Amino acid sequence: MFADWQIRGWALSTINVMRSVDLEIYICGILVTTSSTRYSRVDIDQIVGLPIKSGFQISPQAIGTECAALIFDALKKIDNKKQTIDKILSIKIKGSDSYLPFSSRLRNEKVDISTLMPALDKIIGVRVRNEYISIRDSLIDGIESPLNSRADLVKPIAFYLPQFHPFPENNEWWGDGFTEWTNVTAAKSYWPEHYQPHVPADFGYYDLRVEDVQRKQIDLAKKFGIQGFCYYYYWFSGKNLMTMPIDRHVEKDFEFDFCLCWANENWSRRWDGSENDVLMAQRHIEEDDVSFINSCIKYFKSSRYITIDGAPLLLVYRVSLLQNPSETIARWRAIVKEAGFPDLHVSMVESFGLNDPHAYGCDSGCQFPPHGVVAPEINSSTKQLDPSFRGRIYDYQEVVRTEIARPKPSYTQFRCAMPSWDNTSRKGLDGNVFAKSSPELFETWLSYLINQARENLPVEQRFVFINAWNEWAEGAHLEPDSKNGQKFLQAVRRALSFDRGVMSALDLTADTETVGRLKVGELKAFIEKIVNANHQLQKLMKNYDGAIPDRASPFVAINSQWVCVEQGNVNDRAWLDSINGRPGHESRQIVMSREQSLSLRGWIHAPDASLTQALPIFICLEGIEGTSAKYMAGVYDREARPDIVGALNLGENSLWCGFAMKGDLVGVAPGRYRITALLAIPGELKSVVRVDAFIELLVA
Amino acid sequence: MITAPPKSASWTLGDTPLISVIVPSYNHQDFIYKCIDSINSQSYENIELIFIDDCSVDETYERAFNLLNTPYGRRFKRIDISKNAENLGAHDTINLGISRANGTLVTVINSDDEFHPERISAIVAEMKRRGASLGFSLVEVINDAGTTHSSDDLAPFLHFTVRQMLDLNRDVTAGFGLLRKNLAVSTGNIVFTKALYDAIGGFLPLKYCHDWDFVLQALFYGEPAVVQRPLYKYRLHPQNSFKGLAHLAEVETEVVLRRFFRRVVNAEPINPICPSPSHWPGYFQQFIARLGCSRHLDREFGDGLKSWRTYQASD
Repeated sequence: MFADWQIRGWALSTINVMRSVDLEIYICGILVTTSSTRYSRVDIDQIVGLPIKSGFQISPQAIGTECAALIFDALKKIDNKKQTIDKILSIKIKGSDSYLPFSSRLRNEKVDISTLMPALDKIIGVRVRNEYISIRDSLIDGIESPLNSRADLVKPIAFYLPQFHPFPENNEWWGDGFTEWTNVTAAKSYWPEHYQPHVPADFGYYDLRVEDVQRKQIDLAKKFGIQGFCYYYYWFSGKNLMTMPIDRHVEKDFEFDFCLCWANENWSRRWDGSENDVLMAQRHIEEDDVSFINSCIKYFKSSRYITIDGAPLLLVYRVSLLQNPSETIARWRAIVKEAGFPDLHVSMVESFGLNDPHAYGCDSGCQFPPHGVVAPEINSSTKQLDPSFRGRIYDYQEVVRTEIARPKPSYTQFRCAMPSWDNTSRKGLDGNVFAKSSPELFETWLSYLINQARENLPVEQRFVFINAWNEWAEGAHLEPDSKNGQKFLQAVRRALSFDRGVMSALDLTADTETVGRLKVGELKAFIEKIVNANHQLQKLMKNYDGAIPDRASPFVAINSQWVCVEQGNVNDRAWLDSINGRPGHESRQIVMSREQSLSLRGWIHAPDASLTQALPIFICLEGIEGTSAKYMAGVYDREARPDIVGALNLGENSLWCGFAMKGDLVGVAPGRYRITALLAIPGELKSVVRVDAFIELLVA
Repeated sequence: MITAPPKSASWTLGDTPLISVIVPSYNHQDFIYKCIDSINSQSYENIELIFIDDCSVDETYERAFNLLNTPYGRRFKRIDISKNAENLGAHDTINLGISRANGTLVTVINSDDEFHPERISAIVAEMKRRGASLGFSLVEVINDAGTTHSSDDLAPFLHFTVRQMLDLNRDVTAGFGLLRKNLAVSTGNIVFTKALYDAIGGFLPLKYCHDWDFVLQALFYGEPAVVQRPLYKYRLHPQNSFKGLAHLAEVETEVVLRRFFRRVVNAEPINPICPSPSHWPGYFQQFIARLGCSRHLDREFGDGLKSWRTYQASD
């Protein structure tokens, strides 16, 4: 019955023969499944005289993985492998205490438990394979990096555009279903190296109405060390647009910090805040500006909102548009304080040439490249540029160079870097492009900013901004695309690393300064040499791909009580084909220093021993004269030697007689040693067979 | 071999901190006396015993209960003996036991294994010397449970202590050795601070590798203190070598390695010699490549699989 793993039988209810009977199937007392009678049994039909469905049949597929594992364990614990069926299986009528009897043939037959195991194993195997990914992911997730919470770290904040979902106003102005992707996908390349269109990778052309997208964005941002999003807040005289993702962040309490940047421009058809083609206007009258700050309070109250000494951090995109900035901001402060906060921290986005936050009553400035960057136009040197292109092409490398050299301003400034920038997807032939950007350059830029934040800003204010997380239509996104994958994100992580911090701190120090007796220039040269050598070595190793042997494993002094040594046959011998690269038969004695390592390659002639791969072999140095010291090293490389088995007519048990090993002598006391091989004996926990190599080692 | 420099951990200031010995027991009535007696005979004074039975169907619980309720039990600072209402499995039982622990230090013992009398003293001394939050020793395998093993089943256990010692010395740090396999061997063979346990967040619900996961996660915080003497007696029971379970072992191996990689990739380890891209730049990646696990590391780096969505590597 168990052989083909089918449990078959019949049952009927005497009260109502037409009703099916519910059954519970137990194996080893474990409830495996429930079933009911549902198959025709001609023999039973004849007895009853009615066509009833009295048969049941259960296949192993009905056993769940968990169950199979439990049964597996239970069967394993049974000592006697032959058991009668009733010790293993029982079938109970549901809701009663009655068990079905077994046929007499089954009762008298004994079941070999070991024949049941493979079927159970298969169930576990198939399920595990099918569920591999979900089992794995549920177990892997939930690692929080402990360093993220360190207070003195520089916190990168990425600007976040909460568009990427259709909403009624956009449908009206641009057509149904319009999102940023409409522009992104339409982008064209205007010269051979011009990277357009940008094709999103990990998240695809996502729709922010899907909550999971935002969660995944946060997971990814956190993974690479980004500490918060700065959401653009679209508030037009009481009318909110695109606040859905921000509201969801607060409502679902995503474990990620955020702050707001009021995008206080008119919404125009040209995406540049101009007075033409206004779709949604800002009035910036006093009443509006007061109700604006009131609308922010609910966000400020979120425990995830970024604060500086308790004061919520609010960015204003174009503070000069406020009717009376200083007074407005003073009024905001009063309202925010009334709401229970110690203060409000207003940071002026340094857009459109704004560079004096105090003149507007702000607490700080926040850079916003490409606004305010200095870079030469390179249209004329761009090869095969579409002649009808009317926009401007700038050199990203120059931007990085000048941004690094930018002097420290007299006010508190949060610095900002952009991974790349290109708005030709919005403006076509009139777009501007920062060409030649790369993750490496971005990393250099960002690490300087991080280092400067460390030097120039108090712990509470160590922010660095990134423009942007997802400005796809401006070509400025950390989010993975098909060209760079997660490389810009990796650049953020590396820029935050300790090593990068040290390097950029050094770079900012003049070569002539001294550290102790050393000149900084000397230190830089030294580090550069090491980094370069490491880089070259890695490349070399990559090319050899596995051909480089493991480092030598050391000979270790072993307590002699841990091994019981037995003598093998007289003719047993460890033959060394090579000792330290030279033919082994050339010498009976080798002299080595402790700084060297002993490499041996050879084979073991021990016809009676079992030389399978599973059984370990050790190489042993036995002290001759005076000392009984014993050093052992493991043999991690075994070789099949069909040549030897063939030539000497040895048995299959000698196939894996070949070995290679490299043993470090650094821990070995000077003296004379005999080299032997110790072979494990099947089934013996502590015994070995000793096989001599008849070679002496003198450790000097 | 490089070892981490000792750093001061506050618990090492105490003389002999309280250690909680957790005994998660299941159907080991024949061994439970030997097990408890090996804790009772520890040369280390300051011990509390937390005995937690996971619904044994034999007399394990009763025997332990009766023994510990005699004056024999007075040797312990405190005894907490309980029985789970239902079978929870090993990891949950251990986690539950630890939640009841008052000790600065915690150790677990499988209910069929035994401690060497000097075990706790020796490991705690080494942990203090190194300023380590986790310590373990070599393991001696004993085969007296009366079950017969085929020589194939026994092969992995031959010369266990010697191999464990050689493996521990094989790599540039013990941490790298731990990446090859769980050289700490068993949950029962590790001693750790409660603070470390809290930082890691307990044992994962794995069937085979929860101890390996724990030791690797601990590596992030500090290098383990290893006493190279066999101070733990591990009793052999029949092993199974079925494929289905091997699949499970494969999932668990990936989980353990990926969790470790994720931790050391996402943040710089506190342990200055923890195998990691930040502390062993280049070498770490090579080592992982040799282990054949680069694909797991790549995924944690964010250089994962290539598909239509992901980039074509230019280098």
